[in-house]
Parts: sequence; C-alpha cells; structure tokens
Amino acid sequence: MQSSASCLACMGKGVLTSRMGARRFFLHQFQINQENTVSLSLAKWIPGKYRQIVYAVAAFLLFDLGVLVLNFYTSYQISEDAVSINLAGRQRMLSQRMTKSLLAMQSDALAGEPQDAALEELRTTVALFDTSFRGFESGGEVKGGDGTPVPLVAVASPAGRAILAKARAVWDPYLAALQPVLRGDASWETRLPAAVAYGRANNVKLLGLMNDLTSHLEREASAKASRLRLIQTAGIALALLNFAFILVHFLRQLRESDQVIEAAQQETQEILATVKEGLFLLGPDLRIGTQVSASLPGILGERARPGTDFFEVLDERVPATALQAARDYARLLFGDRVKESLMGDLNPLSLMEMTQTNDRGEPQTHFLSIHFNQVRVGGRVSHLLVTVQDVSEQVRLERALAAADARTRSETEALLKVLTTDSASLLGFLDQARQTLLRINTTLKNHNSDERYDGLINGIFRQIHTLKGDAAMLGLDLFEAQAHEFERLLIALREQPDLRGNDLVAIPLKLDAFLDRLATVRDIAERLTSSRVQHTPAVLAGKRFAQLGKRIAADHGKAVELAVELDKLNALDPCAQTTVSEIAVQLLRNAVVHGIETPQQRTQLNKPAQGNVHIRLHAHDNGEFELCVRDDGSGLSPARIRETLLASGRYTVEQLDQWDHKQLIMRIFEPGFSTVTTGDRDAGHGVGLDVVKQKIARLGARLSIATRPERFTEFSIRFTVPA
Amino acid sequence: MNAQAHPYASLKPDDLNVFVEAIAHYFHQISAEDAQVRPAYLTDEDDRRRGDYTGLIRISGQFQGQVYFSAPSAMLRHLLLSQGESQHSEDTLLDLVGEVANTLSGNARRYFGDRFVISVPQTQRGAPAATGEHAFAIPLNWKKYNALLIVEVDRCGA
Repeated sequence: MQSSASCLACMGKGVLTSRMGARRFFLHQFQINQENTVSLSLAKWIPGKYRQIVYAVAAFLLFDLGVLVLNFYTSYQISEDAVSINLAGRQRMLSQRMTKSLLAMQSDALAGEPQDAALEELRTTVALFDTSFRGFESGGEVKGGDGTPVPLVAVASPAGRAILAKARAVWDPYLAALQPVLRGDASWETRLPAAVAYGRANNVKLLGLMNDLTSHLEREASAKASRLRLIQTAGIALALLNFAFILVHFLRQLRESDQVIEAAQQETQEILATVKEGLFLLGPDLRIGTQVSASLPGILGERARPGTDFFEVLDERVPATALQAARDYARLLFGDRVKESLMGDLNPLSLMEMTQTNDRGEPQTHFLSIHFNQVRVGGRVSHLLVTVQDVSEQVRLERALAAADARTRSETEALLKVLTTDSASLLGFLDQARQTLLRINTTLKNHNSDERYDGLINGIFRQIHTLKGDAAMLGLDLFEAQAHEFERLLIALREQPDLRGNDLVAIPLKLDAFLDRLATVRDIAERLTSSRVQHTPAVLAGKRFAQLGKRIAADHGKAVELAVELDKLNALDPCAQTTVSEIAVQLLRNAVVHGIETPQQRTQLNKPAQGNVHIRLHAHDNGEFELCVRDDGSGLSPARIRETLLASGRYTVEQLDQWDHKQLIMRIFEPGFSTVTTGDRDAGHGVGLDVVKQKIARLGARLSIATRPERFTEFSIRFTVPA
Repeated sequence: MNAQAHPYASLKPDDLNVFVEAIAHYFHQISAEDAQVRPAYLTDEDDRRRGDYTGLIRISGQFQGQVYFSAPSAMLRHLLLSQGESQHSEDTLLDLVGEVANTLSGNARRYFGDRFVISVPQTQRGAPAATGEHAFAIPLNWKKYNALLIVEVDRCGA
C-alpha cells in the first residue's frame, strides 16, 4: 500500500511526462504486483500485513481453548463437589446407623443374645464416619459408595469449617465413649450404656450438623457452578466478538487491498496502452512476459507477442553474431551478483539499425534502442524489464547536427583561409564573382522563351566554371567548392531530358546563396584591407598557380614540378591580366589532370616520376605576347579523341573519318568534350577548354597546339594588347 | 505530400515549385492553354512595377515574408473572357488575383504544414513593398502576356 501511495505521488508530480519516468513507474508497479504475489506465497512467515489477521485468529482459538479448558475444569469441579455432597449425605446416614447399632447391642445384651453382628456393623460405621469426617477436615482418600476409594477435598470455606468444628465437638466425646466398646475391652458391657446414653443425647445434633454440612456443600457447589457458567459465557462471547472483528475488519482490509491491486493493475494497463516505448518483462527462458505495451508490435513487428522468444523476434533484423551476443548479455543479467550499472556499456542492442517495410511496401531504415533492467525480488533477479525505443528521429537529428557542425567547421576553416588571401586580389575576385553572378541572373531574366534551355545552361556553366577557376587560382577553397556545387546542379540539369522552366528554379537559389556568401566575405575582407601588403599581379599569380598546381596534383595522385614565368603579366592591363590568368588556370588544370601521368605510369614509360608543367608569358619584339603552357605528359591522342567523339553520339563514323589529326585535336575545345568519365572539381565536365576558347576569342588571340604522344603537349596563345 | 520539418532547413527548389505548380495548375484548370513557366531569377525593383494587380499571402514561422502573383490587367481581362466572364470591373480583376492567391495558400498549407503560418489571401492594385532581401521571381507566360510569381522570404532571425 505504501508503494502504491508513493506511485500515485509520483504520478502527481508528473514523473510520467518523461519516458524514463514511465519506465521507472512501470518497474515500480511491477514490483508492487510481485510483492503481493510473493507475500501470499510466503504467508507462513507472517509478513507485516497478515500479522494482524493471524493474531486475531490465534486469539479466537485461544478463547475457544479457554472455554474448553474451563469446561473440563467445571466438570471436574462438579464431579468433586458431587463426591463431597454424597459423602456428606452418607455421614448423615452413618450417624443414624451408629445409634441404631448401639441400640441393637443394648437390646441384644438385655435379651442375652450375642452382639457380635451389631458390634461389627458399629465398628464399620464408626470407622467410615470417622475417616470421612477427617477427609472433610483435611482432605484425603475415603471409601466411596461402592467401596472403592475416592479423593475427598477438604472443606475450605469458613462456614463449612465452623460446622465441622461443631461436629468435632460432638463427635470426639462420642468416639471416646465408643472406643472401649469397639475395642471389646473386658468392661465394654459396663461402658455400653454410657455410649448409648451419649448417642441418644447427641444423635439428633450430629445428624443436624451433618445435614448442615451437606446443605452447605450443596450451596457451595451451586455457587461455583453459577460462577463457572458466567466465565464460560464470557469466554464464548469474547470468542464470538473476536470472530465478528475478524469478519468485519479483515474483509474490509482485503477489499481495500484488492482495490489497491486493481488500481495498480489498471494504472499498469493504462501505462502499457499509452507509452510510446515497447515495454515488457523478459523471463529467464528469454520469452516475452504476459503484459506488453501496445506500441511493441508497431516497433518490433507483429511477432512481438506475449510468450514468444524475444531473440527469435529479432532474428530477421539483427546479424547473427550481434544476436548471439545480445542473448548472452541477457542471460548474464539474470545472474544475481551481476550489477546492471556495470553492464550497460556491453549491451549490443543499445543502438541498432534495422530496415522495415512501411505500409506502402517501401523499405525504411529505423534505429532502435533496446535496454534491459534487472527486476529483483527478494534479492534475486526474477525478470528483465526490456525497453524498446524507436530513436530514428533522434539519431537522424544527431547526424544532421554532426553534419551541420562539420560543415560549419569546414566553412569556418575555409573562410579563415579566404581571409588570409591577399586583400586586393580577394576584393577583386569578390567583385568579379558578384558581377558574374549578376550577369547570370540577367541572362535568366532576359531569357527568350523561344530559346532552348541547354544553351542557357551551357552559358551559365561556362561562367561558373571560370569563376571556379579564379577561386582555385586564388586558393579560395570556400568559393571553389561552392562553384563546384553550382556546377553539379548545372550538370544534372544538362543531363535532364525535356527541361522545363520550373526545373530551373534551383539556379536562382544557388545564385542567392553564392551572392550572400560573397557579401559576407567582402564585408569582413574590407575591414582587413588596410593592414595587408600589396603584391604585383605577376607575384600574386605565381603564388596562386603554385598553390593550385600543388592542390590539383595532390587530388589526382600526380607528382608535378611547376615552373611559372609570368613577369610580363604586369605589363598587361587588368582586364587582359584576368583573361590570361583564367586561360592559364584552365590549361594548368588540363595539363595536370589529363597530361601528366601518374608516377607509376611515368616510371613504366622510363620517364621521371615527377612531371613538369611550364607556364610562361613571353613578350615578343613585335609587341605580341605569348602564353605557353607545356607539360611533359602523355600528349594528345587523336585516336582517343575520336573514340570519345564517337561515343558521345554527336558525330557519325563517316564524319570522323573525314577529319585529319589536327581537326580531331581541335574538337577538344567543344562544349561538353571530356575524355574522363567521372567528373570532379578539376575535370570531367567538358567545359574547361570551352572556356579557354571563349577567352582566346575575347583576347583576339591565336592558338596553336604542339603535341607528341607520351612526350609533351604545348598550348601557345599569341595576342596583342592595345597600345 | 507533406514536407518534413527540419531545424536546419533552408528554402529548397521543391519549396519554390509548390507555388509554381499551384499557379500552373490554376491556369490549367481555368484555361485551355497552359501557362508557360520560364526560368526563375533573383528579382529586382523593376519587377515590382510590372504587375497591375496582385494577389498575395503572407507567411511566418520558420520563414517569413510574402508570396504573390502580379499580372497585367490585360492578361486578367483575357482570362476572364476565356472563362465567359463579361464583367471586367476592378473588383472582378482583384477577385481573380485573389483566387490565385487562394490557390497558393491552399497548396502551401498542404505542403508546408506547420513549417509556415500562412495568412488569408489578400489583393491589391500594383505590387506590394519588399519585405526582405531574398526575392525570387518566376515569370509565367500565358498567351502573349507575362505575369510574375514572386517568392520573397527570409529565414527568421536571418
């Protein structure tokens, strides 16, 4: 009862609002039920709540036993009193017989007849009277009516003792007068008249006293019997009262106890029906107990029913090794000396991933958490309380948080790296990137509804790819990654058949996010501008190319020695500087990714493991500038280019057959051309050389390509700048 | 279909498409000719001067801002004609853009659930003032007319 009361108090405090609270409450309720069951089975040890009823029943039996003993005692007393009364009555008769015998002896003596018979009767009568008299006075054995000795209790009451004293006063002289006659002395005949005379004189008196004694004993017996009846009646009354108390008090107590148990069971049922976790008790046979929470089949499937083997329910969802480990773990927990708190970490089911099909038959991944708690009764583990929770949402949230955290950290690192970039270059990039993005937005806005979307996508792709190249050249990983993400979106759109207008809604979202980030970085960068050292464009470009070349080589498992000679860059106007740098970036990327072989391939070709890329801007005497990008890699393969073009489906075999090597090589500048099958941030999208072609056109430059298989490739761009 | 609420969600293409498809469906229902959706872009002040009549819903919750449909009066009159409606008063034109806003509201409620709190549809002449920095314009062509769907939302606290 106390347990239930504290349970109700728990509910009052809202403990059930927490999942753990519900579990604790259930465990508590279970322990109450267990306590009740166990109490009944251990009734012989008289636990507290049954002690009262046992005492009451014992008292009832005691009263009954008392009455029984009293009955025995009463009948014994009545028997004793009957003996006394009978013997007292016999004394009356003996007093008369003594007198009669004396008178008979006197009469026989006068008639001269023998007196032996009368004398013998007198002797017997006197002896019996005297023995009985002493018995009344002091107690002892006396010959009864049938001649057998009977115990006679001495008269104890003062009134009785007074009667006896008076009788003694009469009897003693009488006996003294009789003694010579009874002994048969020589002079007995002379003594007889005196004895007769005393007998006659006191006969009536002695008879009266013996009569008084008899009446007194009868009154005494009657009073004693009345007293005993009273005690007997009281004993029976007490026993009946006690019985009534047992009936009323304990029936009420049992009813109240039943109500508490019923209420506890009702609460348990309500908890089991409401709680979101799967809750049940697992027996030592590892079978699910009789009571399970309503949500259990929803979490573990329909097989999770009372009486089934819990680990068989898990069989299809958990790998065999984990299942065996879980079974061993549960068995271990049934050890009475095993501390549950020390075992928690070993639970192989604390978090498990499982796949279930939903109502529509689609597979869905769930994360379940199964916990075991020991239920102890009398210090021994009787069951395990199993709690099954679907923690899918929690796990997903944790993973989303971890991913967001990792993303934030990565972006913060990237942002810090951005801020270490030369401020003038950074601000230049930010301006240029913003202009590029706004230009793309204007393109979107002004798009003619009659134009095809793939042309629009390719145009945007080129601009984003250039932006990515600029970011890469400056080592701005943050923007390079963002541009790469943008490219991936554009690739997906480019590959989508039957593009519609609403398929493109993701583009302004990307633009918006990109512009946002540019603005944020610009804001920070502007505050730092004043404290930065300014470098010439040539120095900055040299540094950036070195960084970019190193990064691309590392990403593609290449070993590259990069030589950069861009001093003449300072002689160009800013616009030309940008365009030349953009061309050089794309060609550098192309050289490292496509040109230079891996160190293993180079070794097999008897080439140094480390490849060389040489970027040089040369000013000719005639005022022309020449940008050369040369690598000592695999060279351009017309056969491979032909193969790629054929596979793309853009050209037929007949068309390809008409072209010579030079014409085939020039096709690498077509949009979408790429000889690698998987795209990454440096290659594979078929846009790099397309950008080069656009930039060359913008510069009004001439392009020439020199290549030799397995030896080298050199791109040469010659241009003039306005004076 | 119902979007799953997520504490780190940002506006997704599907979110924008809910509004686009709501309007496209509306045109499909009331007219024999479907509206053609053109590429979306980041809107500017110039776009606000285009529409004569606007039906809008305001949203709050995880995001806040407004979504509205602005159309020239000629387009609206043509739409009414195509429905056999001869009344072309200003009230009728406002009712028409109100209907579009109502469609936007219904679809948004179904899709976003409790991510967005959506106001009752409103109508006005011209276009509303900007409420935030992030506005996306989705042009819709119907016959020879151009209307704009503007989605202008910012994350709360952004």
